[in-house]
Amino acid sequence: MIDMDQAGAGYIAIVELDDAGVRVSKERVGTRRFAELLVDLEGKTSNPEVKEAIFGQQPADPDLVLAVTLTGLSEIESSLDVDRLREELMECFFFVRIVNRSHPKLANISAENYPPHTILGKFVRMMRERISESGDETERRIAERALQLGVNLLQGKEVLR
Amino acid sequence: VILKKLGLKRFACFQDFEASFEPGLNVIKGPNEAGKSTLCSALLTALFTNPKTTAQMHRLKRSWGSDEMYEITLEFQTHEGRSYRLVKDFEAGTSKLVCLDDGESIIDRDEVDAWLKELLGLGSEALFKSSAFIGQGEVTLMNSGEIGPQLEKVITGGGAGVASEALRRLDEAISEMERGLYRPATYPGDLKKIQDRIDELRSKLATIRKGVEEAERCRGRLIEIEEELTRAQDDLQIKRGLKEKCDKRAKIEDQLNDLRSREKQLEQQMELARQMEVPALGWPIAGLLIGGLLFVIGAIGALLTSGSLQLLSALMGFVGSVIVCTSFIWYRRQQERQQKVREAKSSLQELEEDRKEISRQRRDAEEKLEEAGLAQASLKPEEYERLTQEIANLEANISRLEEERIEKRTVVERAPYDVEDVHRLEEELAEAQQQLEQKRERHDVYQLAREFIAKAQAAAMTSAKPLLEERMSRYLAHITEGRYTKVEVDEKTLGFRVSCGTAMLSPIEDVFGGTYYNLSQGTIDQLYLAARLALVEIIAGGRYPPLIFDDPFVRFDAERMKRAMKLCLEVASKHQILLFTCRNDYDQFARHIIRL
Repeated sequence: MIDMDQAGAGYIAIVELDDAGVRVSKERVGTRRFAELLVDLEGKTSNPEVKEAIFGQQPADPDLVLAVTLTGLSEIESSLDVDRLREELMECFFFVRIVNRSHPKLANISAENYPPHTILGKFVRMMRERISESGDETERRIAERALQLGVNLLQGKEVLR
Repeated sequence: VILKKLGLKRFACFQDFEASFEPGLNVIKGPNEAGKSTLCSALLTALFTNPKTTAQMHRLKRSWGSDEMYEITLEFQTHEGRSYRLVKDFEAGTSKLVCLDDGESIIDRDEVDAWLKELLGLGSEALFKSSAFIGQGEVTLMNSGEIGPQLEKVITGGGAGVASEALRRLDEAISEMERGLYRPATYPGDLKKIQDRIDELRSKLATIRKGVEEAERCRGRLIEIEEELTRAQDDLQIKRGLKEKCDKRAKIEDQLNDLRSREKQLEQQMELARQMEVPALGWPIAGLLIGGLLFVIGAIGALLTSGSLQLLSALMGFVGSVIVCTSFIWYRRQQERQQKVREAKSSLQELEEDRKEISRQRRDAEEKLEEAGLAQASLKPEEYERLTQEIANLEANISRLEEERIEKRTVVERAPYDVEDVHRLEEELAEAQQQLEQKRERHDVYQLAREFIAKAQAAAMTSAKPLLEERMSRYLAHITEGRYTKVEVDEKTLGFRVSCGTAMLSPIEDVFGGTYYNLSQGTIDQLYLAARLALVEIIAGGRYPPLIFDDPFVRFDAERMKRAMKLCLEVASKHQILLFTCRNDYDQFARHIIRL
């Protein structure tokens, strides 16, 4: 097993000494490899789209340990399910770790777009206030995702498994 | 929606029945057991029941003596003027909705159900029964749990109970995630599963780490043991060598001493032999001669003389014989001595040879002492004793170390896990902890979304309250001729408070957990009738489901019944009303009367 931060692990260096001098060459000895991907969620709203972006960078490889970091601004209507995505990718790679560092595109959730007397309008306004009061990065991220989730749910979208 | 025609086959007491309805107030009249409640049930079944149902209560609706399930046909017209025929065949388990204008049809049961719910504006039978349907004595039976989501729909302007559905799904998701966290569960949720996995990994890691640390300690100790053994064996070898030399030196010295002693002895013997002289025999022979002469003279004198001479002669003879005897012994001894001296003299050569040999051996031994470096291997007895003790200690120490080496090797060889396993488990633990962190974050997201949707829902419901209160107040005031003019609605519980003049009457909880108002039963029925009419207007969201009343005004006095009927006529301009009764009181208000 290689560690999750051992890019290039699984090789040995062969050093050959002769009259001509010293030659060092890299030789693969292990079967497992590690790769790290950054996937920008901009414009991607579903698991298939994110999978497509991942496979665009890294073909399926049953010997590959893959660490995926989701970044960028995710679409508000995103129905991305990280757990399911991981389960799906686990079928194509030796091991998959996904860290979601993306933020919802809050600019698209403007309170003006939602009438204030509706539940959705009230929810958006309350959540935006909560986000602005968030103390730290984690609290803010949780509030942003709660806003994204709530907006999708209140629009009747199937975003929960 | 205006119901036009109802057809029943094999439905309870109706083997084959058909009835037509008109817009406005329809009174369906008949004596007891004529089948009024059965018709109400048939209408609800047509509108809301899945024809594939196997529920016993629906099977019991078959005509008596019939093995076959029933079929219900319902024709109706929408407010847009389009006519439809709905056929639900409970024997075949099929639904069919046909547009009588263009012949288009829907046969998928779920699609038909969804279409009907959308048409009625009331998403479920329970909600319909809570608002648009009033059975006998059922005025007060409203299911507030069903009304809430429909109020949302009114408030949000679309989507059936979307917030309640969102809350329900979030509750489900949160509950699913938390399953097993706070109480035991056969199938724990994600959080519990990962937490258990982490606990298991931690426990396993602690055990393996302990084993590996023990094995590593043994490996380290083995290296120390090897070093200690090497040092001890080297030390032992040196000390044994020294002891051997000491022993050898001691042995050689013993030999030397012996040789020296023998050499000295031989030299003394040789010196003695050299100094030995052959004893002379002259004096013993002279003694013999003198003694013999004296003895002869004495014997002759004794023989020849007498008296004192004779005595003197005898004495001389005696002395002579003694001298002879003594001289003879002396002679013999001298002879022996002579023999010995001669022998000694003759062995001097051999002694010399022996001495030379011993002398050579001594020199050899002395050379050995020099050559083997044994000269320095000279220890005092106490030093030798200490050396012997040190060797014994070293031997014991080596023996102990070898035993310990076997023991440690066994531990190392039998260790089922190694450092790699620890690293692997640490990696797994880190992965599980990260998963738990992600799940907890997701849980927090769900919780927060739930909390704020609930808050938003409550806030929005508060905004719906005035509309409901306004309609209810108007209807109640109309029925009670202005006696009760104001109704207040609790947006959370949908409970009502009614004002009579300046006093507000709240529901009172009774000892059985139910609630009642300090009002007559008739007035309570009127309050709830007002509530139902207001609710159906609000929650149907611009749609007009038919209202089905099964003799609901039995407790109304004549005046209030008349006022209620006038209200119903007002409502019937938008909602078709089917009023089932056994009385003739409503005939004057009816647009169409059906007699059973």
